[in-house]
This record gives sequence, C-alpha cells and structure tokens, in this order.
Amino acid sequence: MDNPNQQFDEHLLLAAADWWTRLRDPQGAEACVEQWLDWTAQDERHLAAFEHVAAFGEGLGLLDAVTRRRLLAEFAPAPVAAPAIAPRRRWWLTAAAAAVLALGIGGGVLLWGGVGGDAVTVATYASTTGQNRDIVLPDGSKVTLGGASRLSVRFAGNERSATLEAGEAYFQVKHDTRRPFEVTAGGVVTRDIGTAFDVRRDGSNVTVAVTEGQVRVAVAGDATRSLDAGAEQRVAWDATTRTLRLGTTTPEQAIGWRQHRLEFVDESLSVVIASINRYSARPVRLDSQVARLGFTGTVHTDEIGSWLHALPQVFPLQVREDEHGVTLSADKVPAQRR
Amino acid sequence: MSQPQTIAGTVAPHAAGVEALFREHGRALVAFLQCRLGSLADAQELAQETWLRMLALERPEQIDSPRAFLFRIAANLAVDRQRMRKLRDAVPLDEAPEPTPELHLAPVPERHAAASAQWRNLGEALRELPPKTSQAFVLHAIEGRDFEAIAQTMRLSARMVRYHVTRALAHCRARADEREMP
Repeated sequence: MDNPNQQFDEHLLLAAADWWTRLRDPQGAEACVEQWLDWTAQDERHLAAFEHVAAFGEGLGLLDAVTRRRLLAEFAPAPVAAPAIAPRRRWWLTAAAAAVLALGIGGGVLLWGGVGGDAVTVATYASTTGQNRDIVLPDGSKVTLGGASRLSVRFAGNERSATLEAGEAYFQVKHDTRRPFEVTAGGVVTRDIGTAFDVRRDGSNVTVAVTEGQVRVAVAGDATRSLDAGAEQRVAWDATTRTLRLGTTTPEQAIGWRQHRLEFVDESLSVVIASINRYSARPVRLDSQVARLGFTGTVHTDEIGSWLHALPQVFPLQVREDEHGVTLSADKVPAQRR
Repeated sequence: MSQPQTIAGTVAPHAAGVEALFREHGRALVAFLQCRLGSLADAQELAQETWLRMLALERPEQIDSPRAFLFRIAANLAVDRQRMRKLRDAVPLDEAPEPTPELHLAPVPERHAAASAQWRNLGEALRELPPKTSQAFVLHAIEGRDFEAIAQTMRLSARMVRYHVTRALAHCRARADEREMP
C-alpha cells in the first residue's frame, strides 16, 4: 500500500507515471499489461511507486468543481492555443514595420561601403551526405549542419543573417539585442535575438523547431504574416498552400539528428524520406502514392537500410532495390520503371 | 500474507491455483484497477468481483495464461463500470452552472479550504511545466478526457499527449512529495 513516508526518485516516478498513462490508454493492448506486470515483478519498489502515482491521480479526479474549473481556465482555456498566438501577433505587426525600416536603412548603408569600419563577412558552409558539421560563426553563435546541408552567412554592421540553402541546421545564437539573428529558408524568415532553434528544409517546405527562447517566423517578403514560437514549439511552412502552422515538439525530436537519431511525429513519408536522404548512402525514391502516409517514430541514421526493409510491416508499400538506389512504392501496384 | 476471506473455504477444483495467483498479483490487480478507474474503493470492489469470476470458471484448465486471463476479466469489468458511470454521472463539467464571477474574489467557504490549498500547490507545480504539458495533463487528469480526444483538440498525436501527461504527472507527484517531507 501507499506509504506517504516513502520517497521515490524522479526517475522511478517518471517510469511509474509512464505506466499509469499507458494502462489508461483504452487503445493499450493486453501486451502492455503483461509488460507492466513484468516491470512490477522486477523490484518491489516499482509497484509501490506505481501505487503512489495512482493515488495522486485519484486525488486529482476528486477535486471539487470550482477547483477543477479554475485549473481548466488557467491551463487549458478554450479554444486551445488560439488566444496564445493572437495577441502576440498583433503586437508583432507594429514591431515588424519598425524592423523592416531598420533593416532597410542597414542595407542601404552597407551599399555605401560598410558601417563604422566593421568588416563584412560572407561565407558558405556545406556538409556532405551522412555527415554533421559543427561551425562557430564570427559572432560566436554556434551552428550544427545536418547531412547534405548548405548554409551561407553574412555578417555586417547590425546585420546577422544566414540562408539555409539546403538541408537542416541547428542554431545556438549568441545573445545581442542590437543585432537580431535572421535565418532565411525557402519562403520563411526566422528571427531572434538569442536562443536555440532548428531549421529544416524539405524541398520548399520548412520546419522551424525551438529548443530555447523564442523566435518569430515570418513569410519572406510579408512580415505581417508571422507566428511566434517558444521552447518546444515548432512552426511548419507549407510551400504549396503558403501557410504557417504552429505545433509542438521536444528537444529529442528537434535535434535528435545531432545524435544520429531522426525523430518524427505524424510526419508525411515524403518529409521523412527527404531527411533520410541526407544521411543515406543510397538515394531513396518515393512513389507519390505513398508520399502522404504519416510516420511516427525514430530512424537511426546508421541503420537506414534495416529501417527501410521493416517499412512494409507498418505501411502498405513495397521496397525495391536496384543499382541506382531504393524505391518505395504502393503495395499491389506494379512499380514503374523510369 | 494472510489468506483472503473470500477465497478461503471455497471448494472449486482450481481454488489453490487462484489462491496462488492472488498471493502473487492481488496487489497489482487493485493497483491496475485503481489506475483505470481513478478510485481505490471501486478498484477494491471490482478486484473482489474479478476473483469471484476466476473461481467460478467452468474449465480453468483450458486457460493458457491465468495471469493474462485475470487481468482481462478485470479490464472488462473496468470498462463496464466506466460505461455505467458515464450514463449515471452528474452533469458534465462544461454543462454545470457557471459560478458567479464574485465567487473567485469572495472568501473561500470552509469546506473548500483544503481543496483550495491543494489547487494552489498543484497550480504552482503546473506553472513550472511547458504550457502544452500542463494543458494535456489538466485535460486528461482533471477533465477526464481520453488521449485521443485531447490529441484532436491540441493537434498532436495521441502518443505525444500521453508523453506530456506522463511528464506532468511525475512532476506534480514529485512536488507534492517534497511538500509532505518535514
């Protein structure tokens, strides 16, 4: 039984909480109960920690209506997410107008030969397929380039700008309120003053995932269309519909690739394969019929081959290999030769 | 552990087997049901019911894994109980009458005092978490919505919702533990 004097470390509480949510999932398979029982049998503290967490869960369910309403009002106001974005966005409209003006002047001055003797630095960095690359920029900001990626930077006066021409890059920006850091990727510009975020290009689609601080992601050439994203949020730019969408992420998902792990949550297979191709020795092609399948999971960049071969177990597709690479196509449909 | 009253004295041929099962998994069964139902009292009641059904099995020898079977019975009973509750339950939270705005400013009535302190502490712990994490947690643990429904509202996968709820639960539990320490 639950003993209030017993202390459990964070790790054990997290494991117990994980089982608590797993067992409450109505979709949870019977196998989950079996695994949970095995876990409780491993160590007598396991079941005690689980009971401890379950008792707490019960207490939450017993809170009175007024308390519950207060908690809901503060932490889960309806409609979800919308109020958090709208006010900031309005505030940003005026800020954007000022920023555009400031950049306009900066650019003009540069044309006349530099600001206050500051040197203009222009550089391009590139990485090969399957290789990540660490870079320190002239201002001390750090960048990790993902596989098969290319980044050009320009530092001059009040300007710190970078353009991700291909692939993915993780930025840890050195704080400088006077010189915002801007990253252009495809159709969007990400702007911040000192934080850490990841920018990924998949063709013309772009995803910006924030791990620390806050950034503004604006449609290039239209600063009135922007979204703010804070830590553990991400903004996805769909080049086809020309829309920005706010979602959530975790550091593991955003920058797992730095540890050779690509993590995806409900990502279309076309985006997944585009990322994988930056690490795969052999190019992977995707039939348009299967491009829209949604994938959630982890791909280890050193085990891409076995991941590809396991795909038919979860998706209705077939994997075909030839000397040119690997082709994924819809099952039952004869693969087309090109 | 002492022999359970309900099982001692039964003469079913596999009573000894069930008894062994009870000694090994009795506590886990109650914990499992408490997790599913959010009520220890209901969990204990349904655990009794589960054992009775195990004892009443006509052909126990045909069961491959008695342990799996035991928890299957319990899971089914829990589902039935939850369905019953939904039918019988009082008005859902969002249809309950709105409290008057003054209620938040007025002195808290005596009987709400304990709950109110609990709320403050829980609120503090939740404020330390990312907004999405506390949001998913409150929607599940306080409002009682399932992961799938929350996933749709929050535009996340159900797996991500479960991840957020797990983190928040562990964090709030740890914070509550700290306060209970002298």
